[in-house]
Amino acid sequence: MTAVTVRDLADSPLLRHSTRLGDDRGLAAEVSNVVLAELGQAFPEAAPGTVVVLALQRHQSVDAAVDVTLRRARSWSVPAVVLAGATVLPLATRRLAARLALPVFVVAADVSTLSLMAELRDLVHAPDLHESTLLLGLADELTAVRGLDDLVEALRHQHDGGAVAVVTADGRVHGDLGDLTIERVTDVRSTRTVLAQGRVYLVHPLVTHGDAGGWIVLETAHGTARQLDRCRRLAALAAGPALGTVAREMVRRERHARERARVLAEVLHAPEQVGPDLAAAAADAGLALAGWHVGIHLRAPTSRLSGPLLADLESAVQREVPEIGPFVDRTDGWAAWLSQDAMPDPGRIRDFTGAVVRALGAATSQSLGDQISLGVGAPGRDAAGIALTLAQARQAALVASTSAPDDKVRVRVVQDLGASRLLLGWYGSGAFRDLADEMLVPLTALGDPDLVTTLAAYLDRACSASHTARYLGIHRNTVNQRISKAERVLSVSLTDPDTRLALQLALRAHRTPATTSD
Amino acid sequence: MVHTTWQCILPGMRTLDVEDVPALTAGAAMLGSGGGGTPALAGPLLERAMREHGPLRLLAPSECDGDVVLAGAVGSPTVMLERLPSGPEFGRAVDHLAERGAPVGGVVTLEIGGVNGLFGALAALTSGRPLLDADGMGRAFPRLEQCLLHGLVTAEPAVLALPGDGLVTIEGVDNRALPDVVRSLLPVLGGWAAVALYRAPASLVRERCAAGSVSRALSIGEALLRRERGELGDSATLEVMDATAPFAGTVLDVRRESGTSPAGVVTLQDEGDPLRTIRVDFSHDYVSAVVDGVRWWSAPDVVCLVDARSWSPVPVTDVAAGQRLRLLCLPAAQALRDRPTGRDLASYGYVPDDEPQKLPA
Repeated sequence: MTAVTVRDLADSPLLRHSTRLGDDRGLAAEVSNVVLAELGQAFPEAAPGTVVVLALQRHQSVDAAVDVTLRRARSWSVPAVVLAGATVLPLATRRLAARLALPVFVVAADVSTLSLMAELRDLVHAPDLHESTLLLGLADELTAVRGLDDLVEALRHQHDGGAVAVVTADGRVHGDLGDLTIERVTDVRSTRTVLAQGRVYLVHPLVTHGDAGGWIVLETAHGTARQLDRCRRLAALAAGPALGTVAREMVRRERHARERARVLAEVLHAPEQVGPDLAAAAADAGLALAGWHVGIHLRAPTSRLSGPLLADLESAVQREVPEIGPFVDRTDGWAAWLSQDAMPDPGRIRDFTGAVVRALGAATSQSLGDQISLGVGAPGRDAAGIALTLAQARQAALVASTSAPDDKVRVRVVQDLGASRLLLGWYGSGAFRDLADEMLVPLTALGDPDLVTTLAAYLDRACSASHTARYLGIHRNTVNQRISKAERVLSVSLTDPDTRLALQLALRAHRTPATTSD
Repeated sequence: MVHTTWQCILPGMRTLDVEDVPALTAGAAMLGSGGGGTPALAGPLLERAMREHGPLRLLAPSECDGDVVLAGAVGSPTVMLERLPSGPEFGRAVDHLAERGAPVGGVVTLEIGGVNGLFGALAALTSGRPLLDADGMGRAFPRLEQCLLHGLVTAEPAVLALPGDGLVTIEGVDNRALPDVVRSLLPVLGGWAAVALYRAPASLVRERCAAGSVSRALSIGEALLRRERGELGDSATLEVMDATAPFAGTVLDVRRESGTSPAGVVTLQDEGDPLRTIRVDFSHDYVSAVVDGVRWWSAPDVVCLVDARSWSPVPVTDVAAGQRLRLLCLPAAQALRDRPTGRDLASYGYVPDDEPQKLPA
């Protein structure tokens, strides 16, 4: 039920036969309350949206105080005034009502002011009664809610506005967000309205200990103040149960993730000695140990690859490759593997890799940019094979992370690594990294990352200024200037092949993360 | 509108003669606020009396000792147009009251606005006493109890004198009942009568009545006459009158209520902004001016509608649709602002504002 407007009052049997002063302006204004006032007195409770019924005594119809009251009503955003007991009003009063664009209803003296007030209040407060019914209905339904989908359904029953959704802190959307993007929802820290494509949404964060554990999103049909108020109340009522459900689901998912990581760690610790208990625990955690496996390893900065995005990536990959197991937390990323009975041939691995890259590419948001690196291991059999393929995948991911960011997802398959594997072990070693850092100190001390990037790109492109300029999207002269500066700072000449080789290796080592192992 | 205290401008005793009558007439009409009768009716009587008795002595209230009385006319100004005054009845009323007690050293005009503004002078002249530069109401008010001395001294004995012969003396009636007694006698006496009442020490008049009001009427009237002769511009005239006149317009409607007060509403369309409405409420006189729902002036300030061209006051009885009028407002005398009770909107039966109006810039 929508809010009552002045037009509704005008069309009601109560005022239909009254005389209305002014034109049609102001009829769309919302009415939230009705108060009775006497001439010359301040209106009690005259908040915006309050219609004032002015009870006039005999002869007060011609009193200038009526005009003064109308002017005051307009300045207090009163949507309409009802003059009860009025006789014929002076022309001045009628002209003033038109001038102020204030609907003024003149009700004859034979209508009892008391019954007029009672009926007007019933009419104006009908939406409040409706809203109370909705809130009671929601409170009733919330007692039977088992999950967020149930909660969304309960809200949808009692909300007559449009889209309803609950967004969890890990980025899962239950229900329909309408035209809103998830980023615009998760930005909200206190209850407020958000506009999208001309529609108004109320976003209510589920705050616990100062952090948002989720958000309730309700679309309002017209975005009027009364509808927003109603949405606020619905959201506030649902917030408690929603927060409880969100917290329960988060705890459950977290527990599962830890359990998977623990089981995998045990398997990798002694892959040749997987007993029946560990096998059963792995099966419970959704990890397949038997058969042939092709492992993948995903690297991304932890700060960027947050819970919501990881969940998106996992579900996207699982949609593309249903045979793949769940993602498992590792110290420097996330691992998963494809399992099948027969040994996968190179074509199958290629298809699998392609499918994973496609899924990751589609699910990776712009904010993550080119920072995802994927490594794919060689096939391995049973638990020992899992250890092998995951180790290879991890190494491949490391190599991928050091390569030039040509695509959204940087990918390396272990078989394709070739000389990179040899070099990786070398420039990933601590001794060489120290040497490389020492060699580059004059350059890094300048605090100019562009210089380092340009030099690395220049060396990776066979010292071609044109290719480097195209790759970096800058002018060729800029590349030359930066290279000259780098030579000057490092006190070297790039015409010397040994210097070029040493610098290229040093730069690779510089941008390669230190090798770690579980 | 900035109210300024209007000062008695008399440097000392002066006289009024025939040449001063037109200015006094015009000034009294303006201070009548659209009521109080037609001063032009009394102008010829005053001029004739001046020719017979010589110039009228005008004293500042501080220059008079002993007792004074308030004099003028009570009753219907409309009836007065048919049952004309003759002049001597005003002096007889004062003389008769003077015989009852201490000697009376001067006469004070009952009200400076309207026809009484001249009848006070006529009473002084025909009784052979000086006129004090003060009045009992500061403008025109419709009821005796709105006199500034009401409640400070006893109004009785009061003497009513008829044109021709006949005197009625009212004694032993308290202030509350006296106005009703006078009102009840008036139909028997022919609708109006000259009156002398409120015998009071001159010192009390000096302190509590509207001092300098005769001079004020003269100065307002003189400014209006000079404007009419083309000697003064509009703004200079307003400055001399201490008046404000920001609105002018055409009368769209005059709504007259019969029976009880308030009596009616004049609706004008502003000539500058046709959508703006100027509303002037009137009883026996103009009571308040409301512009688009904002109260600009109200009693006891003087609200006056004047002809847009000549600036001659249009009384409430003559205002009619189609007239082009200017709204002209003068601040109330200081004595009225000091003691507003009984002389504000409520005294006319209007609902006063619960909070002060903010005048538009």
